[in-house]
Amino acid sequence: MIKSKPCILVVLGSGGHFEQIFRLIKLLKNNYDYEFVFTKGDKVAEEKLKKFCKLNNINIVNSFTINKVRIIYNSRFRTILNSFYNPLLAVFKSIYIVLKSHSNLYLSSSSGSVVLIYYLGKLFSKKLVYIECWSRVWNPSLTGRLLYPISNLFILQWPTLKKYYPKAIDLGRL
Amino acid sequence: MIFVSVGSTYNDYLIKAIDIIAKRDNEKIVAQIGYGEYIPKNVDWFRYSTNIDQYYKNSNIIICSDGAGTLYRCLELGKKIISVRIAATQGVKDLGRKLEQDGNIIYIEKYNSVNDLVNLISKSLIDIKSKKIKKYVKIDFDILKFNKYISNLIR
Repeated sequence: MIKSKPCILVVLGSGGHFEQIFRLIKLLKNNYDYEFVFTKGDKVAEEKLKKFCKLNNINIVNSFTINKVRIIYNSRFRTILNSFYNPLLAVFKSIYIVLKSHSNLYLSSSSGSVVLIYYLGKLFSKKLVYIECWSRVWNPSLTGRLLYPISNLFILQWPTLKKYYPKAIDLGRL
Repeated sequence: MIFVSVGSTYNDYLIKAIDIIAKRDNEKIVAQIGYGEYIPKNVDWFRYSTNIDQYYKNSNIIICSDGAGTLYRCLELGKKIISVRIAATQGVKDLGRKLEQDGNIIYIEKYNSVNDLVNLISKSLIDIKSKKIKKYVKIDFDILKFNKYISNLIR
């Protein structure tokens, strides 16, 4: 019998958040199976990743989407209206994702919605790996500060942040 | 060619400023405008591309937002970069400031109007041709160590 590969749930994020975790997946290759949580609205990221997985024989066990908790629109009215609706939707989506996922390990460098998924995952004793965003040189992110106490492994890309995250490890830059 | 990129967001100030510069200087400029509402008239433009690398590679100067995805990639390609702060989003100033400190890029952090931005970009375009840009040195990610940590956690 072929031993199945370990499965990782990756919360991808959008823009630069996506780009750094995509680089990590390129390094991890098909040593693992993956469950992906895409950010709603970032079609470019989704297309890029799926194409890469197909080419490299990477098994995607599940694909989920989650909305952004906070979106800044061109119109202020829309921004305010959505600041109530989006977090609520994200809570329900996170519950669904955590219940449906088979992975025992969560991996992310995203921001916002990932906090919900990680805290829910912690309740189900999932192992949590968080990589602080590479745009942070001197100031830790809110997401990072919220996830640092519950993460099993917390990774930095700028050693200057060590004073905020003493237990974190610095593995260089993605 | 000058390539302008706003990444996954938008910056109508930047695109308006670029449109004015393109008309004034009669310069060949291509712009990626994201979900911005302003459509430039004197510039070739598109919203998103899954192959944006090809535009980076074909350009001599890149004018981009201060998002990390674009900045790191263009630095690795050794491009001359003018980075413009995205006013509308909550994006962080850390990286832009750090890279300017290290002499890797020119960073435009504050601007009050489109005209202001036109002046700042015009000045930066002159500066960047004469200024010595330091090469960015990447500290590679230690994937072996990472894999070790992961397999310990999974077990």
